[in-house]
Amino acid sequence: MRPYAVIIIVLLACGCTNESLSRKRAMIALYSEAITAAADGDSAWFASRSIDPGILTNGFRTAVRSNEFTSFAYDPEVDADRGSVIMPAAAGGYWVLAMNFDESVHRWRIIRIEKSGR
Amino acid sequence: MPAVGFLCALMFFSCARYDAPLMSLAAFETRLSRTIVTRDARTFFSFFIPAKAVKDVAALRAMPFRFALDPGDVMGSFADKGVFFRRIFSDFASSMASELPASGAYPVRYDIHRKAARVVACIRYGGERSHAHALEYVALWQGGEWRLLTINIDDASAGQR
Repeated sequence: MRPYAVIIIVLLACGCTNESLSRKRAMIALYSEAITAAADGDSAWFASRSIDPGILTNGFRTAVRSNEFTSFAYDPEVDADRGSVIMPAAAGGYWVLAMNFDESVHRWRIIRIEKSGR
Repeated sequence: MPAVGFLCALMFFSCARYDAPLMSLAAFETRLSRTIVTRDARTFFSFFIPAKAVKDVAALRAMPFRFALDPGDVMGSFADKGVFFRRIFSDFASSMASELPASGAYPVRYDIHRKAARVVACIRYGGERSHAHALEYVALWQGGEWRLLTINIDDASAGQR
């Protein structure tokens, strides 16, 4: 194998690894921003991201403040552009933050915050 | 010099909204998986927190995650080429080192438990039907960094494989 082919393969491997890591980090960063904004009652943060700020009054903020468990799922094998964060709701069931990765701007967007389960 | 000060202030305020344990979790998990894929046992062992350094074990055991084996038990199993060695580092097709892609692009799930200042992350790799998914890496946030606390094997949760 020619040396430049090896270099290209190594660069591609590093690129994939870094891409995967940066997406995971970016997803966590967005979640972290969202819960901080929710805990602060920062409705402007949600409004500026096209999320109904009404989310702050229907139990999401309470869930964020008392949160002792959060689950992140990231699956590039099935769909690299989707992720989800799940956290228990105080009154039972779960809050789900569904995210999509927008390739055009290379960043995650929260597309839905909803309560599921009981 | 004022520009440097401005940049430092900007970095401080831009990071202020982020949660330190959460933000460094993806990097820890990536380093962990890389040592598994490359079968770098020395680095892998360095991730474990010494059992004596674990603070408030009773409070940790009261948290809702599995903590059956202490770090010494898990590392002892590796030394004896036991079940953890076979399931993680061996040349078997079902071992994690054989199963995870070297590219780093694999499904991952973090379950994060918090109790006061204690933060514990349970990390699982691979799709739900993969062999890798049956292994749960439990990491503890202590002293401003993530350290591996224990590893659980949970074949029942890995579905039909």
